[in-house]
Amino acid sequence: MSDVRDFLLTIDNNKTGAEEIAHQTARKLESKQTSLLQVVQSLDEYIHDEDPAIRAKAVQYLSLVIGALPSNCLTVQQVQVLCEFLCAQLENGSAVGGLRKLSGLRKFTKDMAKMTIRALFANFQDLQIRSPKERLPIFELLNELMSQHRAALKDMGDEFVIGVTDLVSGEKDPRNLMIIFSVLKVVMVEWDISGRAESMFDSVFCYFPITFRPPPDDPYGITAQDLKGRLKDCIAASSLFAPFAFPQLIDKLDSTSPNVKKDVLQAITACASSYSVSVISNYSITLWDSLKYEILNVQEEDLAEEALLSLQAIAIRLSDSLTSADPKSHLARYLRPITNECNEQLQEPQHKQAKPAGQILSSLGTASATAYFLIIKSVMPPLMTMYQAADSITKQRALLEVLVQLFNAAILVKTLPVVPSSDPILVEPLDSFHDRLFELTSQALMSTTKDEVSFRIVALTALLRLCSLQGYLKDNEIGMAVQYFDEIVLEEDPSGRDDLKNQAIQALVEISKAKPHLIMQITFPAFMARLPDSSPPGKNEYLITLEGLAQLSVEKSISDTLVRRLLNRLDVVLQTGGSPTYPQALLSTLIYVLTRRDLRQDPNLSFYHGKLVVDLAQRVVQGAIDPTKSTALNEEATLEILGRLMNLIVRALDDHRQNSVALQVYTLFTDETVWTPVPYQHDVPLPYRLTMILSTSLIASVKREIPLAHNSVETGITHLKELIRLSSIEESPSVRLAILRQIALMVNKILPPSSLPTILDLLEGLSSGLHPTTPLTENAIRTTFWISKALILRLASVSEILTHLLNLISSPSHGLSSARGFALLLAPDEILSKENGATIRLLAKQRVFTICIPRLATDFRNADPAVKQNYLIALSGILKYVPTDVLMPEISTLLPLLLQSLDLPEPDVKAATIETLSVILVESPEAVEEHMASLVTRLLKAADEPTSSTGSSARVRQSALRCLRLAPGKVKESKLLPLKGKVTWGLRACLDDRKRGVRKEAIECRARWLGLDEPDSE
Amino acid sequence: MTTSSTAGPVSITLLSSLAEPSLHHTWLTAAHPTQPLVATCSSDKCVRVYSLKTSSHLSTINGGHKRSIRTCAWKPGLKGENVIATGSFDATVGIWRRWDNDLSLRRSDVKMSEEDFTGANGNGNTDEDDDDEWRFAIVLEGHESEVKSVSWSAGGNLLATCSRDKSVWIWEEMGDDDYETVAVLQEHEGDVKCVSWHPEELLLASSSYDDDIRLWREDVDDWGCVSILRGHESTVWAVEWEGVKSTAQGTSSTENPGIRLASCSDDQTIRIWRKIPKEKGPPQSKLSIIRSGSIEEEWVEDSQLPRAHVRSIYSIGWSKNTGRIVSTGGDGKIVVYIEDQGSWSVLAENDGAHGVSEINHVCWAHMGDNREVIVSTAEDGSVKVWAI
Amino acid sequence: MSDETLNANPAIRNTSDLPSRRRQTSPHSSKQHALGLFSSTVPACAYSPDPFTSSTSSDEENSDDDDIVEPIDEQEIYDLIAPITDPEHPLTLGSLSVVNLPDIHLTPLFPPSSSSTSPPITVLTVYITPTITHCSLATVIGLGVRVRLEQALPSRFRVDVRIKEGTHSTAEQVNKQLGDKERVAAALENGTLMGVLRKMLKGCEGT
Repeated sequence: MSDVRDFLLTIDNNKTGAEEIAHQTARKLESKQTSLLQVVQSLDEYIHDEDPAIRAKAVQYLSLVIGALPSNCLTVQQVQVLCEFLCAQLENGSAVGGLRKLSGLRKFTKDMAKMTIRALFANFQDLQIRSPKERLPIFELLNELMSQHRAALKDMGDEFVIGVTDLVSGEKDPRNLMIIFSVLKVVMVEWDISGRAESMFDSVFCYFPITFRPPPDDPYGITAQDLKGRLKDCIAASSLFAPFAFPQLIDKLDSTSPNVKKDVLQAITACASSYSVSVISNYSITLWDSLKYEILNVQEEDLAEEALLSLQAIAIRLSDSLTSADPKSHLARYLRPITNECNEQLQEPQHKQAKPAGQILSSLGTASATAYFLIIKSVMPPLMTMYQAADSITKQRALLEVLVQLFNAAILVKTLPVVPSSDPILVEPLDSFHDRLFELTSQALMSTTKDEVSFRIVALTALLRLCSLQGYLKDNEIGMAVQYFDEIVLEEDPSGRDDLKNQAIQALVEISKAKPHLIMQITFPAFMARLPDSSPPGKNEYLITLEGLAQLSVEKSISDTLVRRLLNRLDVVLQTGGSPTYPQALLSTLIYVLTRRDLRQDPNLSFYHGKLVVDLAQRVVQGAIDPTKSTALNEEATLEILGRLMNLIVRALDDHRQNSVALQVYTLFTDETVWTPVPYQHDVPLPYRLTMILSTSLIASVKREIPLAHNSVETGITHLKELIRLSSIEESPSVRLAILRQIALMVNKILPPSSLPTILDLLEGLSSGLHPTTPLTENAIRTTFWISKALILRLASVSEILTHLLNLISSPSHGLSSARGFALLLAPDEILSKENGATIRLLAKQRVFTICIPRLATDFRNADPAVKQNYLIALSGILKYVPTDVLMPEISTLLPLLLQSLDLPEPDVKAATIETLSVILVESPEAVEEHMASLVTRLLKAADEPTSSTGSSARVRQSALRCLRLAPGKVKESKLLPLKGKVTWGLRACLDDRKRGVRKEAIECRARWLGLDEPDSE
Repeated sequence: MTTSSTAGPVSITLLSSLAEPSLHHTWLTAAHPTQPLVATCSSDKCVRVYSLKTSSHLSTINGGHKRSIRTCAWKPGLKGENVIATGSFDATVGIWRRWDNDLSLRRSDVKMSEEDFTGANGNGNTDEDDDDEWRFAIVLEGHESEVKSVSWSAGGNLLATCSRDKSVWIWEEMGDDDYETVAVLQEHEGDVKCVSWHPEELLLASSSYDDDIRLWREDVDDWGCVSILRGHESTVWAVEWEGVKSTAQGTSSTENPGIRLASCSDDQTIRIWRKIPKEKGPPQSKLSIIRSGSIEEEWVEDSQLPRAHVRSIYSIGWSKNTGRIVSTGGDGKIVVYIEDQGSWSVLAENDGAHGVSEINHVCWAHMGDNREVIVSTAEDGSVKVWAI
Repeated sequence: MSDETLNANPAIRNTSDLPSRRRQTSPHSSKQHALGLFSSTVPACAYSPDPFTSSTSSDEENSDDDDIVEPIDEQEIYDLIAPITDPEHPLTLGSLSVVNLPDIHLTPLFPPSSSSTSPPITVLTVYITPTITHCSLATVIGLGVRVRLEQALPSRFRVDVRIKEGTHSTAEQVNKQLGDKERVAAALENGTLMGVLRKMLKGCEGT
């Protein structure tokens, strides 16, 4: 049999080859070409070789052969032989692999398992002398035996327990520990360890607390948390450990390290959840005495929480299979000292300990229905009397806060799964305090002096909790609460009490979920009654009512009624005239409510289409035609809001209805005889032209495929030319903007690709100065940039258009306005957006950036001084909207330009430049390092009080200071320290800035720079 | 010799601001006894030497102290060389030495001034012109906490220092850069703020946070307190002796009862103290609260200057030539007083001398052409020269 | 610092009860404010002014805001020092009522004369109330308040921090120390003390 010799030769340099040889032997065995006996005998000479490496490789060969054999091919005797053979060879590591494979075979009997374990115990007395890698397979074998042959090992009883404990003692390697902990846990749970409880406990507790920190390149990915979890399971495995676990854990609770304390608390929680009820009951009081300090004198927030969890776990455990709330039960004995201590702490409600006492009561109150019952029974009476006796608002508030916590517990307990058989049916303990509580919370809310804001907020929360406690308050009582909340929202003077008002609205919203009918009957009419019929001069009280109504209309039926009511109110208001802000608020509320639902499935969609789109559009037209009929709707700002409302509704319409809208975007649903649409008319009065705002919204809302009136390419182009004519003569900014947006929609969304060449010619004509240099050139520039914007967002290749725009910058007459135009190109637009069907290419920003920046940089360098600043304005316009990752590669070219842009007087440019610099400072501070000195000087100048007229506005001063504040912490300190004196000295002037916001930023910035450590501070 | 006061209010006019002010608080500026030079010490642990003529920055002392330098003083009576003692919050006193190759006319003057000295890391001149550099001769250690004031005796061989550790130390220069402690005086009950030597006699005045002023003399070979001047109701920030020249002529040279002491305090008053000449004769009968056997003197409050300040008065200067007193303090005012037949009156005032900043120190200095100026040092790092 | 907390059980005031600057909506708050909840119905880009018109003119609502001078008042001083954390408790001086709005006084040093052009030198006096009468930390708290104010206020302010009479056994000595500007400056250069002060002032960042 040369296989073993071939194996020995190849194993060193060709591992797979050697394995192949072993597999061949296995196949020969299978096909009975050779016998097991022969294989074992062939090993004989190598097994006894004096070189241990040879011996190990021989056994490895045997193990591989066994591994390659199918599980049923060996007979029991053969397995027995192999097992004995390998057990004898155990002292060299590879035998373990073989045994592991053997134990996997079905024929591996109980006795064999015992024999293997005994061999293991015998051979590896002091396992720790071997390397962790050698120890690992041994533990894996142990683990394998535990899972395959547990019964056998159990029969060994104490012998196994002792053996395992000795085998694993002293282990440090995390991977091995993970296996050991899981093995030991099983032993602790399933074996009878009554005799050996202490030694078993000590064998695991010696690792407590785990301070393992995984090495940086840890291949196995074992975290401290994993180890801690497994160790915790062991500690909590058996109640027998209690006499050792609790004392030692409590002792470690005095450690100064928060992490250790956290592990202790989590261990106690684990033990409380798994030890037996009687054991836990013995220790419950001692545990309470040591844990209460962590909560009452809270040092670390999370430790208090962990301690609360432990106490709760104990309470949950003691509530198990509790037949009644009789006072002698374990639970009752445990809760008594706790409620006494809390009652005592609550005597001084305004002191630090009052709040944690409330937390203890409420967290234990949610442990179980019985616990809740017992706690409420013992705490409520004294709490009530204390509240009665409380002589100061602060005391009453603290007690109210405890009540809120108890109410929270009451609500939570109701959600606990009721186990019918075991839990005694308990009456709601709060019932006996029903009237008193309702009266107390209502009085606290409504009859305290109005400006005790924080107290009334707590009272409101308490009352709201009572309303949300199922079946506790009767509907009429909840109704009264609703009235109180309405009164707070509607009646109370708004200044300074908005957080109370918001809480009241939130309370109404919560109640509307459970009891919508109460809101409909009480709140709705109260709010609607407050809405004025005509728009009140000055103060916009109605806004709070509308906000309340809007937030309340979460529930479907309520919001439908609201929309109808708002519409009738709008009709009334439009007739009575007055300032447009009120109708605008009504329209905004409608938008707010309608955006919160999916209009497409809304059954009332056609109602909204008729009432909100067609009717209102017709009223606008009537108002435009006959000034006497003009209403608030004809105001510019109202038209913009109305346009948004219409856009929202039309977008949800089906194709059929969108078709009809598409054909009437200019006629606005009014017949020809009375009204002629604005396009193709000359010197049309402003009210007429203002309707273009609605037309733009309607055009935008119609799907791309739906044809407009001019459905052929030619009529499309002529319409485009007409719009361009209109835009170049239009003076009213909002009408001009509406027309420009229509042009952009035509170029980007409506006109087919075939019309693009003509559009480009139009663009060329517009800006190449064909028109005499009349004052209107700025409008021409505007139209040029809007068309370019539409094209840039639509087309893939845009360099030609951009180069054309870049050339405009240097022209002395309209170079400046062209430079400003660049801010328009990438700015997000409400109308030209994806929702309105426009094509918005993802890479548009990237393209504009990569084409324009290098060109701007070179042109800037050799531009003549007069127009130099134009390039910086154009640059800041682009950078404003370019995402940072696009920006970063070009920083080195950008920085010098940006720094010089800071010297420009224009606040917008300064603001944009500072914004970009702040981003760069955060994203890649190293790039800014060598410019630090000049950046600091310029930012200090920008933050300086506007002595000269070109001084920067408060907004710019503030953002400059905010940018300066970023440097410490981002840029290397060695670069900042030389500038520290200059900055802290320079900022002294900003501390006296006349705007409070700027002063605040200056203080923060100066504190940050002062914080830079002195280099030689000892 | 009092100049005749011209009709109309006299004004304190700004001559110049010393260039390159420190970007940190500046505490004190010491005027050179003879040359038109001043040394300003600042919380950036440096002392900057300026020329009053060109009001430009000549040289810098740094690298010797680990904390702010609170005080400094030029050593009087030296030829061809300059020595400055610096007292710092790091509880040590440094003695610095520099060859006096005619500091004011220096070829590298021009190069010197445009170099930026204010940068915190700028350690002043580069190394190559070594001989111009201030050398750190010796450090005097002994005080346990911040040193508040240093003062050279008229002859220049004794140096007095005081500190928050309530002690006054007197050092004697035994040889080149070799000093010995001759006295450690620990009778003050609080932080000692200022020490000042009598212009002629070996008499040292010290003022303290405990509201007292004490006078010290050497009796045989042991220094002791000869008098306690009580009257101030709060911290006495500074004391200054009257100049020799300005007293009435014709008094005996040995003991000159005429030389008085001025003191300024946080109680916003400036007081003048005069010694009661002791008649020869019977040994003192009263139980002396000073150690028995030491010579005891009696000083009394001669007068109080008119109240011109509304905040704590930090510093006063008593002109040797004109006998005028200049004062300054937390209210940012500079006030000059003049004495006429024993009664003091305000000659001139200048409020907002350094804008809104407090002024920490003021002293008389001469411009070389025996014109006398006032040098004021403010909290905001500016140092200004005024004419009156 | 004594390790057992001197006053383990101070009365604590709820932050929303502390004096704060009522959010008076400034007379012509920008358009965004007016809509309140419904400002969400107007997309953000609708507010950016037309880039073409030169921004200074169209920015009018900002510029006249700019001229209104918002003087430094007692409330601003209070907001500066209330968030300082007490060296002993994880609580702020405001919630412990160590600093209170009525105990802050601003008075001009010289009678307001039209002559002096520069802004008036102002004396700021802050009285602090230690939580218990023999609190040894009163000096540290006073120093913390003084350092915070001196770092945050322009140099025309003269900061006087005093212990309120009758609230502390050694008020007189503490006040003398806090009033001595030189000793305060020296204290600031003492590394360990600055460490304590920096921890106390940590609470002020980002408020």
